[in-house]
Amino acid sequence: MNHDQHNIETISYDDDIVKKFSIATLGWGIGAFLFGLIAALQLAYWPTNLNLEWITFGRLRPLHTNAAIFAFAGNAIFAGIYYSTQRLLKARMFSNLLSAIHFWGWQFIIVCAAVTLPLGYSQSKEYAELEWPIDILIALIWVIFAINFFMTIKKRREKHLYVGIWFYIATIITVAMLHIVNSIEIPVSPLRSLPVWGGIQDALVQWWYGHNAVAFFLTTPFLGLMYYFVPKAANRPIYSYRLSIIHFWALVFIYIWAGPHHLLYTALPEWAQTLGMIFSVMLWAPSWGGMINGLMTLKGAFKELIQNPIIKFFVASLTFYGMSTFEGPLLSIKSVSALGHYTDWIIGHVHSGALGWNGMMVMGMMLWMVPRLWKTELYSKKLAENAFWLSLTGVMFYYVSMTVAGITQGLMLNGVNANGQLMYPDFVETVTKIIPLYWVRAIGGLLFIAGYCVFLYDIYKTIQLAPKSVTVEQVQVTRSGWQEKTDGHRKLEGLGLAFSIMTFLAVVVGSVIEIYPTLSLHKYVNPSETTEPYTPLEIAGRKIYQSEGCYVCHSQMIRPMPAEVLRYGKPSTIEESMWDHPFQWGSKRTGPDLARVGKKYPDMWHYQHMMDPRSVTPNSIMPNYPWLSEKNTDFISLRKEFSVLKMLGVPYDDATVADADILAQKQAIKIAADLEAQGAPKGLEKKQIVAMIAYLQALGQKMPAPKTAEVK
Amino acid sequence: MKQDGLMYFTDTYLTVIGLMIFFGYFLLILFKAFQSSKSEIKHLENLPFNQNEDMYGKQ
Repeated sequence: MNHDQHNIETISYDDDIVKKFSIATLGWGIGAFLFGLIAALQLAYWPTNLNLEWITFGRLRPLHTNAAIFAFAGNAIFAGIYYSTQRLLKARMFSNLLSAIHFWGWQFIIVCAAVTLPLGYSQSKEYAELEWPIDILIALIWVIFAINFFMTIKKRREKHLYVGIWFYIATIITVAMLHIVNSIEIPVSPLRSLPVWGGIQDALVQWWYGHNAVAFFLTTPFLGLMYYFVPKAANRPIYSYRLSIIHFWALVFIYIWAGPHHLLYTALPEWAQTLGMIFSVMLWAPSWGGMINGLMTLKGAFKELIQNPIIKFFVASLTFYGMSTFEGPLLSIKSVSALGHYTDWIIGHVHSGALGWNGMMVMGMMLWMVPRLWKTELYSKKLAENAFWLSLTGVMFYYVSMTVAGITQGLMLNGVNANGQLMYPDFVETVTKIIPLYWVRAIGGLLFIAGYCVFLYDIYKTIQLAPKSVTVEQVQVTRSGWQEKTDGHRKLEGLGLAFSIMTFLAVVVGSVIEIYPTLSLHKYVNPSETTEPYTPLEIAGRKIYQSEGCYVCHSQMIRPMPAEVLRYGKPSTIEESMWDHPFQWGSKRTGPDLARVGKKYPDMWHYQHMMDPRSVTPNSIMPNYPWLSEKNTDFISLRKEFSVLKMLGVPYDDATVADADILAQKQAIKIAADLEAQGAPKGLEKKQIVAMIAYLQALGQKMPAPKTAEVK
Repeated sequence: MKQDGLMYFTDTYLTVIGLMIFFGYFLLILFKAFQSSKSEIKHLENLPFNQNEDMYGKQ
């Protein structure tokens, strides 16, 4: 017998914090899913926007994604990590106070997001929309969580760090790095900032962050939870510990490189796109390593799959993980991306991961954990079964409808006939074609929510069954592994700090290699193609464009493919967005690309389009924006905004910075007069609609005039 | 076409260094993973089971 085992200690785990995070998960989950359902209905039936600025699709969609990722998945991760870490390390969390600050701080961040996003305070960077004070708060709370976690590792009684703990380490380190780098921004006002990154730099940093938010917020922590909760639920150890070692290191090393697959065929330098594509395809192997390890853990216990709803949730979750990690690399191949990018195929792919992999993992984990936390039995196995089948059917409806919609729209948009003309020249006809599928998606979402509500009811009744007075449970633990001589990977697993440093290095290599070259933007910019920066009024309009979330439906990036060039014009260049802080390339086209929309239509067309899109584009599903003709443009803050832009290297002279508001008002008077002459109401010069029109009319109009020789 | 594709591929040494670090490290991990004895692996994979909370939640 080992010497360690004589030292029996009696401790208690902090399950109170696990309960708090569990309840927060369950509560925020319903909010996140309902926001998603309303957004789905808005696309199927535009009047569901209700002409209310706060819940219009452009503002609601960021609220939905932030709630799903940071409120639902985030709280679930923390619940699972706090529960399993204490038991795997045989140690109570380092500090009750830090745990409490972490919990209440995180909930406060969610409330801040829920207030600011509908009000239109947005950095317009996907999954990183929150403004700078909230960004700082996120960093602080994350650091508190990290201190609490790593200090618990330091005081652990079990020397060897189980595979689940490795994934938590990778999550904590990498999310901190991603969030801090992507959030380097200069404040303009208490709720407005501009990122230091611009153009292709911003695009690369944003999608390095965006993709790895999926990787290190929705994948690695969930794999860690899987490695703990699946063996516990199946009551058997993980299928192959050796496979877990290999797939962990391959996964954390490769994932960080894959971000540029979100930018295929864009103006991003070709080498970065190629790297992103290659590493995305390589990612297939380690991803499937995790799926195989999870599913094979049930080898010989498939009777459990029939009888135990928790196992059903875990098996479905792992199957969706396998499916989406097969589809992800597939969509990262340039020729497939040419069809799927900007379409609902991506939305279907994301939801097979978010609802299938994450959602089902959370439900399985909660059904296993809640009875143990509240010292009771699960209220109803039958309800859990019903919840499973309802939510599974919902995800399938969602995934199939969006994949079909995406491929349909992709094929229509790329269709060119034998005469070299677009087969579907009106963008809107590619949208109306898939509206029935939007309804199917909404039904899928409704079914998933119905399943989730049944699950919530089961959990609620389970908690009601809990004994009224529960004493804090004492557990006896022994120190183990400290006297053994180890080598190889097992030695590394006993060295918490060394392991963490190795993990950090694994994620830093790809990050530096991809981001470093684009810091020298001048290498990629053709001086003769350098564009003019936007005027003050155009910048005021750009701010409104960001605030309304136009980027969630409109791209500003024309890809070099025949159909796109025929539809929108020459492919977008690096120079066109070189002064953009932040970039607005977008990732989805529910409406057409806007990179060259400037001067395509008269000002009055834009006015009518923003007031009632269907007055100029029959069958459009775009919401009305009546408040843009009622709310005043914020001219006052333009001087500050311009001084920040100048600081970031945008070539404005001092006079423009000093008179930004005056110059903007002068341009606004001209546009308003033009609108009035064409029949628009009087007195629009101070209204947001005029700034928005100025910005839209400037898109694609800032390139230098062709030289005489070229014109000839 | 190939030249267009490689037009901006100016920092090839960075890519090569990255890939070399990855494959070198991957091979090392592969070697170390299979170096562990069966008894060690058995101990490690059973770490989640050294607890006593399983008396609850039976269905």
